[in-house]
Amino acid sequence: VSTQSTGERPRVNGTVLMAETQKELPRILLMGPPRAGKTSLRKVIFNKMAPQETIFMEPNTQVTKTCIANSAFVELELVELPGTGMIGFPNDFYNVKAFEDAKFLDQRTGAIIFVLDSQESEDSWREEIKKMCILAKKVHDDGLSKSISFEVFLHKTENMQDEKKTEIQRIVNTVISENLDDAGIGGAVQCSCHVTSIYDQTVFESFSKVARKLLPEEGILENLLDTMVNSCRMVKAYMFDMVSKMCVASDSCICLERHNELCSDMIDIVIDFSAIYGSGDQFDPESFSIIKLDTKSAANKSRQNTVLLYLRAVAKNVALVCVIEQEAYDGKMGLIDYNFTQFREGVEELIRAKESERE
Amino acid sequence: PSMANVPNKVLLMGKHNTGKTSMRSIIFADYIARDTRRLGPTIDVDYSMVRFVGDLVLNLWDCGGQDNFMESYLKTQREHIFKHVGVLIYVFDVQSSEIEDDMQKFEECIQAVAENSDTCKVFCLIHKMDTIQLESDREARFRDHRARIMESIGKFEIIDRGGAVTCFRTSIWDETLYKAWSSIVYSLIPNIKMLEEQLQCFANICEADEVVLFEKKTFLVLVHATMREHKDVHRFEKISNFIKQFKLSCSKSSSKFASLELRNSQFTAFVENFTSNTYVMVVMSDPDIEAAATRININAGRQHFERNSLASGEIH
Ligand SMILES: Nc1nc2c(ncn2[C@@H]2O[C@H](COP(=O)(O)OP(=O)(O)OP(=O)(O)O)[C@@H](O)[C@H]2O)c(=O)[nH]1
Ligand SMILES: Nc1nc2c(ncn2[C@@H]2O[C@H](COP(=O)(O)OP(=O)(O)O)[C@@H](O)[C@H]2O)c(=O)[nH]1
Ligand SMILES: [Mg+2]
Repeated sequence: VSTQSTGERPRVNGTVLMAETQKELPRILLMGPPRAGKTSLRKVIFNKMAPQETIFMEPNTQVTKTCIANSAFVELELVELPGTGMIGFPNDFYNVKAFEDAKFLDQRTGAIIFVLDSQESEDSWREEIKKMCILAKKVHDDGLSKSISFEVFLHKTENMQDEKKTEIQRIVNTVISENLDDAGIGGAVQCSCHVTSIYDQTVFESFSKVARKLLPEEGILENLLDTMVNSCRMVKAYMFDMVSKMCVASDSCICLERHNELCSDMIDIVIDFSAIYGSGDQFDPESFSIIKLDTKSAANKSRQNTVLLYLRAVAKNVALVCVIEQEAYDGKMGLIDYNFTQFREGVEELIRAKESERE
Repeated sequence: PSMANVPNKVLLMGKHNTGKTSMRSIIFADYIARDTRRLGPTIDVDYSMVRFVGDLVLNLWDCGGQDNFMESYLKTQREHIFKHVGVLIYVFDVQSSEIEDDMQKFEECIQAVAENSDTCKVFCLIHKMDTIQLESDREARFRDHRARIMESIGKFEIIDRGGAVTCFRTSIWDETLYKAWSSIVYSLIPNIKMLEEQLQCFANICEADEVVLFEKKTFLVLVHATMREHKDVHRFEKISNFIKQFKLSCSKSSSKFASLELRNSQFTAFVENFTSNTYVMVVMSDPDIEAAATRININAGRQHFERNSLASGEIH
């Protein structure tokens, strides 16, 4: 088992300084057939690898454990199981015993991400899903189906039309429920299906969704964001982990526009510019940025208005990105600043509570 | 000097499948790199006209590289293709396994352009560098290839190339693409020296660390004024690439990038719409200068540059 680390934690000789706390980190298992894209997905999200560079990737034959400790809200252990069907290996699903011996199925594991290559045949997915459901049965029998969710990532979909995406998602969902029903556990395990690609935002969004399920503070963060959004008449607010670009929380309002993607792109811009003109990777608490966009609102196509993406550093490697209309911003900077400070204090308090709990 | 007698034809040549249309589509037609996989081979010549800053209009001739087309350019269409060429951009695929043949075709084109356009500038792009994994190998391959090109070029004394042939290593997947194309465009802009001087003045007035002018649509760097030395020599093309990518994301969600202000404890960077066909970036590190003051300076600069140096159709 090789252990790697990403993020800002101090390291000694390549090992992570969190031996005592490590056991408490929620765990995500990453599995699926060979060449489905597991390693690529992990490297693109957590090691900032450029998607096109993944073509040089050698097949992975080891269990790879990565401790991710980017920021207070993205702390997890990611375990990648190689897809090769070696006998006695955890991915040899028919051998549930081996899986058990590896001790990956316990309370700490919060999600199992199952990566499938959408460019492979439908029959091959059926086969893989069947295997996954054997595992699901095991999870259910062990009484872990409340704490472990199954997340199917239908991967490599960058060239797919939206209709096609919906279609394959439907097929996969049907195959899953058929298999679960056959095993007599229909409706008893949590299972969702995502369409992903490393060449666009989908992989970040889907992974964020999974990781957020494991974050106990999500509700509190949502409340804090709601308060700020309402007081400042913002359109939408997101909290991002700057290192992985994962969205860790957002306000509860339902918004037609897909700002999420642009906000995440903004993080890239901020990081890239800081690397050039600032002090490199170091997180800067004074980080503050505004991008202005001319948009047509989804509600009223003819109305042209200016929308601001407003980014502020909240805590180490955590940034808030808000969408706010120009009219709600002009002359109200004081109000926004005040509310932001309140928000940041709330988050800081949350982080302190989290840390003291751990001690 | 009026543009009328300066040849502004830009020939984009090279063998089939080397990536000519891909580059052109990314720079001038807002393609994203991944989408170039869908491009078909170019049939004969694809003509396009790109209005650039000031007086500069590029007549881009993207010449399909399949053997039969190449042959017809060199024979029946020889004058039509190779006359009045301002710039020849010749593209090589770094993965090619038939380098002898590549060089022979290249020499034939150089011969033809030398005979027909004696002031033509030549840029060679060693392309698809991303297909080599290690940076050290990339650099080595580039040097080898460049040596071969220089050897070939050495055979032709006729061209007044204003110095030399310029070689770049490129890939559609990173900022090297912007580096190469910015240099090409730079070599074509009339009055570039004057523009540089004016930008220098402007940077002084702003007390900026750095001011950069980008062409609005392509986000290629036109000129820059750097007042403080900087460690990253590739920063301009990187920024071109970042902002271009961001602009494309914006258009996907039916919005348009308007401006950017980025601040932390060490610097403030502004990227704003400047004249009718440029964007400006101003980078400041003096914490005593208010953002509002910089904005006022940018507004004043905008009027000045629009009137004096970047207006289209005027001759200075
Ligand atoms: N890996 C890699 N592939 C590239 C690059 N640039 C272009 N390609 C690919 O190369 C293929 C051919 O590209 P084109 O732009 O059509 O080639 P062309 O030179 O215009 O070909 P002709 O029109 O036939 O002369 C496409 O599939 C591109 O996606 C690059 O920098 N790296
Ligand atoms: N087109 C496409 N290819 C991908 C994507 N993700 C991974 N790949 C490619 O799939 C291949 C196998 O990836 P890898 O991560 O080694 O698979 P693993 O065996 O599951 O870890 C590599 O060549 C990747 O470049 C994706 O989203 N789209
Ligand atoms: Mg072509």
